[in-house]
Amino acid sequence: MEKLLIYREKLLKFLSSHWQVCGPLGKFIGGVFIFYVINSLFGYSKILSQPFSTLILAGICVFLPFSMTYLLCNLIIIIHLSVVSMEIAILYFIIMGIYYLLYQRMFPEMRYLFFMTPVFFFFHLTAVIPLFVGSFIGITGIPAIVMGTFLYIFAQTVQSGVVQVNNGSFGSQLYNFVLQGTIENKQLIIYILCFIFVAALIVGIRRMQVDYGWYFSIFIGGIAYVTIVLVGGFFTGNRVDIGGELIIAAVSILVVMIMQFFKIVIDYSRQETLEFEDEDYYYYVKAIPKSRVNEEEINITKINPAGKKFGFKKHKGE
Amino acid sequence: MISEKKIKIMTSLAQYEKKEGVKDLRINRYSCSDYVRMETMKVGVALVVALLLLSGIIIIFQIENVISMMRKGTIAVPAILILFCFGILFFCYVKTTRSRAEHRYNEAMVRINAYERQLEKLLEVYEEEENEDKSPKIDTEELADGKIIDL
Repeated sequence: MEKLLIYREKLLKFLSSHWQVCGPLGKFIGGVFIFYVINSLFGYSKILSQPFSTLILAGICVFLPFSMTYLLCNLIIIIHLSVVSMEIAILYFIIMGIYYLLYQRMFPEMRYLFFMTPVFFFFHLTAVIPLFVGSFIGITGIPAIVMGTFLYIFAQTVQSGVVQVNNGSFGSQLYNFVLQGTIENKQLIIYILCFIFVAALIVGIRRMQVDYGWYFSIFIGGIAYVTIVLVGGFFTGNRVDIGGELIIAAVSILVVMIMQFFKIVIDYSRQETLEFEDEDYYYYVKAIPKSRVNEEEINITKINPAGKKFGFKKHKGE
Repeated sequence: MISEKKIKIMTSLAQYEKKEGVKDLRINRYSCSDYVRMETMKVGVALVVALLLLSGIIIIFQIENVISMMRKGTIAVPAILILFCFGILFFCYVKTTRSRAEHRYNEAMVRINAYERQLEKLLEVYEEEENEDKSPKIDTEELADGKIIDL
């Protein structure tokens, strides 16, 4: 554990000291992921779905604040959709307008969650979304992930509609098919219910302030996710890959635990409970120290014995 | 001469003005009740526009059902239901917005008070500098006979 803490400290120190490079690089990589997923889900415009477009757009994002990146992503989606059907593009624009008026305007900091959701859906790490929101954001982040899920299912429905149009087996209006298909999608309903429940469960467990509650809540949330998806799939008649879902949940738990580890580590073995009072209140305080390891505490000496050119031995110093 | 104390205060002031200060100083232009009222009004307008957009989508996509209901005269039931839901939503939003706006206003005031204290400190530093004795100093001089002249 100590070694892990040392690596954590080293990495965090490295990131903070090289933030001028790491920050833009992180923005670029995030932009590549977001635009790659958008182009994969909505790739109807030939120019925009080219790999170089993805790289150029991601490069532009490096110099823009996230609010502008968010607008750019929506603009790209609208352009893609307008290639398929202008009605669907207008429909998307109106839906995003309603979403903005009802939620985004009041919680502008949740913008990234909206596009993070389809990215994790795309890479089959679905369980990360509610675990992340429950652990780091709280209940206020739920509408953003619900809308992100809607976006992913909406994209899939548009894809199936376009395939049907190309096959010539399509009878009704496309925009009607897309809206009906998205709203009535059983997968969407299961995922929305699952995300709300899992995120709320994690928030609830964390508020109980039990020892190791942060890690415990992530684990319980992962189990709840698998259970709801499997039970929901059974009742709605959707085919669910049990092995696949278990692997997704296990990997997602691991990913969120790593995030938690990098955010904060506390040492429960050294926790203290204090009680004191003033004129108005009586205080019960639970103080848990943060785990920190100074790099200087462990001194590794490398000794290269003469004659053994390629033999290395490591000795831990005192 | 560069004053380290002054630079520290000015840096922290500039950092605040660039980040939270933008919003806080805008909030500071209103009294608490005015700010809360303005935020509530904004939410109210946003909700009405959202309702209109949502109703528009529902009407466009369910146009056949809407027309048939209008013919039968049963349109009042879903309309009342929608308005009832809107009323509940409106009430919840207004309540939440009011408490959030109050909270935000109080937080902004705490930060602005700290900002003003920093400004006062900076002013004090300037006053100290102004009051310093800036008259030219004449060095002591030793004459040929060993006598020291100190002015």
